[in-house]
Amino acid sequence: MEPCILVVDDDREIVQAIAILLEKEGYRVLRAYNGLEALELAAERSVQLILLDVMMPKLDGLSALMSIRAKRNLPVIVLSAKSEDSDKILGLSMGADDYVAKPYNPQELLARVRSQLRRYTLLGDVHAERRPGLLVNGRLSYSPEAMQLYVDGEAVHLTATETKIMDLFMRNPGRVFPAEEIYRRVWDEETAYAPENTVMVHIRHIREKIELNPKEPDYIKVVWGIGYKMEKHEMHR
Amino acid sequence: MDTKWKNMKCTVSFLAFVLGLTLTVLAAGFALFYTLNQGPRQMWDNLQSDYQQTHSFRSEVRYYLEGYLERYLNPNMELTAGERDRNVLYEIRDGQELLSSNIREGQDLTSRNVVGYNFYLEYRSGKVSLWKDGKELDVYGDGVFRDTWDQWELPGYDNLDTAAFLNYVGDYPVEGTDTAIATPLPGLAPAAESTAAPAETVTPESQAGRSDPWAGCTIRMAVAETPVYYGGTAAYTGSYYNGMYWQADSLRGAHLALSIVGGALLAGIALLVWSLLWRRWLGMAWAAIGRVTGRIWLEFKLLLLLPLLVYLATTLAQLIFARYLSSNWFFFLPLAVWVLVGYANDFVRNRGRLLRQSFCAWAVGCLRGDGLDLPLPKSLQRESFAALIVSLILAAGAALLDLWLLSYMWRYTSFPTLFLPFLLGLLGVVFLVFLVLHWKRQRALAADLGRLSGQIEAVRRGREWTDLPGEESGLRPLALGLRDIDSGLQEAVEARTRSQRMKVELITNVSHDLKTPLTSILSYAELLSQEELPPQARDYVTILNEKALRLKTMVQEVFEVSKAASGELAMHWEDLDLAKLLRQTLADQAEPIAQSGLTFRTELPQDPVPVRADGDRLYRVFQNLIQNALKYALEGSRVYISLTVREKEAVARVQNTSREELPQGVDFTERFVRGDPSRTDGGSGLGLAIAASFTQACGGELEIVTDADLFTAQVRLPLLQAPAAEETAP
Repeated sequence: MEPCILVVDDDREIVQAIAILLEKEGYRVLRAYNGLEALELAAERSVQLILLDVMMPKLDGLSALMSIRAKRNLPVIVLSAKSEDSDKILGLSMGADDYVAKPYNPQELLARVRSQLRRYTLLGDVHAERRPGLLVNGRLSYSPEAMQLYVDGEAVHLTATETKIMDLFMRNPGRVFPAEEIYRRVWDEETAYAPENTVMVHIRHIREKIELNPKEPDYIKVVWGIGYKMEKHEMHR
Repeated sequence: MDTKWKNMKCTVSFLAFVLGLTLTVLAAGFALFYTLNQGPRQMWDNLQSDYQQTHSFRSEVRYYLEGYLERYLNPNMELTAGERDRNVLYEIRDGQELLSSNIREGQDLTSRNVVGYNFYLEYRSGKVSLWKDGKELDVYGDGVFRDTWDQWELPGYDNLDTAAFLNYVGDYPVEGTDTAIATPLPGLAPAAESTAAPAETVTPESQAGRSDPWAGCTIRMAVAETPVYYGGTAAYTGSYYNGMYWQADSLRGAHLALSIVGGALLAGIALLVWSLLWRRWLGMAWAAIGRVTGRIWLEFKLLLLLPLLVYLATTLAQLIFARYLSSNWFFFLPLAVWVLVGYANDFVRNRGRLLRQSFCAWAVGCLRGDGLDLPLPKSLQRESFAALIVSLILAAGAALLDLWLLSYMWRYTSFPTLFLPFLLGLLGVVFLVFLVLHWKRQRALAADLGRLSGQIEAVRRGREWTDLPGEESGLRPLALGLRDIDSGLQEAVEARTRSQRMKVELITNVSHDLKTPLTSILSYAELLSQEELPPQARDYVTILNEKALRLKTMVQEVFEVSKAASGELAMHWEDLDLAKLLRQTLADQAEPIAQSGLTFRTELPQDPVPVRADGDRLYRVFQNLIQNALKYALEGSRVYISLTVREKEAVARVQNTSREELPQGVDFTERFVRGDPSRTDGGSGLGLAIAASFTQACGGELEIVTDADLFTAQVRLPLLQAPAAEETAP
């Protein structure tokens, strides 16, 4: 059966546009125009993913999200015109799996939908968590013994240096590494002057392989004036 | 090193000044002292090169001649000075008969050419002739003796014959049996004459001719050109008398003393001139001394001034009344000059502060509680209390004086005048009452002022204040006015925050409302681009997409800049390394930089440059500055990025050469300002505005300087002062 996606927004044209986009990709789409409608439709078993707007009449997106989360454990991507970090953090903490700011890039939105569905349908978090020795962080999982990185459950080909960098990050999610330390631990050499450039080149390449939007990375982030870190992604389900 | 050199210059110039002043003062003082105490004749004598030119030589000659004249009358008397001085040749004759002489064989005084002797005197028939170096001297001038210092005091003047000459001196005991030479002082001479020869009627000439005991006397004398010493230290040595030698010797001594004093004077003046050439350093030295003396209490200084005043007064008195100076004067002279100069310096440097730096000021300050950092009402109360105490002390003194006056009058004067001290006392009591009343009022005023200052403090801190001055107080209207101002101010602040909040809400809402249709536009443009379209329609869709994306950026940036401007920006403060941030930013922007064809020259310190800021915002600042450079720099030119650390701030600079001519007098950090107002390609014109407001939010400042085509953006951020913690960390 085709995966069914629920699209919720009070702006009918936006719902329509997203629906066309998704249907072209072969998904089935249910449409809702406020929070209450969304709650009704979300009860349907076939719904496997919800795209949820935040500011809506009758019941706003975040309240609807909480109600849905109480009943069902399915991926929810929040769509919002609020683009600030604080809004993003709020949405994610309320149980959203992803947060996309409006106006979104349609291709990026599609990629995110694909990613979420893949993890939900193919892998399932139960599956991922049960695998012993696998380090999991959001879409990424890493096997230290095999030195292999998986994105949405799919093995990614990394060069030796990139693997070493990812090994460091995946073992220490959330920890900030100065460029000097990354250089020392990955290249196993004493620090060259200003290794930021070298490190950054590799990080850029890694981003191309693991991020949905390499220009606005979700995983490897720069902590300006301090170093680099792997953003820790909390598990909601 | 530099300060050491400066200190040395100061010290040297100061020492030169002190030494120069001391030498000059001592030399000048010595000259004055000597002139006053020894007299001008002695001074004149000391300036002569030949001892025979001096007055003391003249009086020595006179003294010798006196002896010879007496010897003529009294062959039995002891040897006189002139006969015992072996530097003098003499002969005393009565007519041709030699009475006494010390000339040896071959020496002839009449021809006046004895070897080694250059001064000759001849006394004959009451007149004296003198030769020096073969030339005859004019002894008598117009023939009248006036006892002026340039005259020879010798017999033969019209008013000074030999008898008068011998008596005139007065202090020399004349041992003679002859009454004719025992005539008293010249003024009394006529009377003596009349008593001595009353019976004889004689003409003055015949009397002179007959009664003159030296009528046949001829005395010749020669004085050595260079007197030789004949033993002993005193003038009298055994049978010799070294009078002439000592004349020459004391002149030599005087010459030596004069050259020492003159040398000291010259050296002193030279030192003074030198120190004045270094007057900049000298001034610094004096300023330093002024700072030291400035800390001394005035009373102490005045006490020290007392001896100086005594010294000056005695000197003045000596000069005016005695025309004489004691040797003490001379010794204390440099000390007095130093103290005087020190006082002058103190007065010049610490003018206006002299009174404050005194015991009285200190005592009053203590009473007032200066430096205790008391609240205003307390210090005011203490001040008025101090004034009261001082007034009471003065009043007590006045009362004592009045009582003394009363008792005095009680004893010595009649009844009605007793009213005067009574009246004075009564006035004093009234004055005291007024004083105490005034003090009480002052105290109440101070308390009210305290309430008022408390109220001001409360307003400043935005607190409530209810303790207003009482109804009858003059300060009450002020306090009420202040309360009105406070409430008005609070309303204004509230209104402002309200409007600010509304503004931010409006901007937030507008930007959200703009984003919703924009989302549709972008979505459908994407859908459209997936359709089969004729080529030109595909181009249209691309343009639509591009412009919508630019609109999206602009909406986002307008939102950010408005939020920053209204101070609503949420900040995530962190201690970070600005140098590292710049390197990260450059690494982050490596691709667009590489594509731009521009050369980036960076100069970043290797050591950490710690600042406290929001890293994300600061990244946006430099990202925008680099983007700006990429967008507007001349193709193929160089962009310079540098970070320098100043005393308390870090300064990051991005410099580039502009492609377009830069307009002058434009504030580039204003919103929507670009180098060329007509440009529409790329950029919202908000990049620099965002950079400026984010820098400000991080506690720094963005400055844009344009010089011809050179565009400089300069970010200044306060340095974080905590590198010490790093060093101590293990």
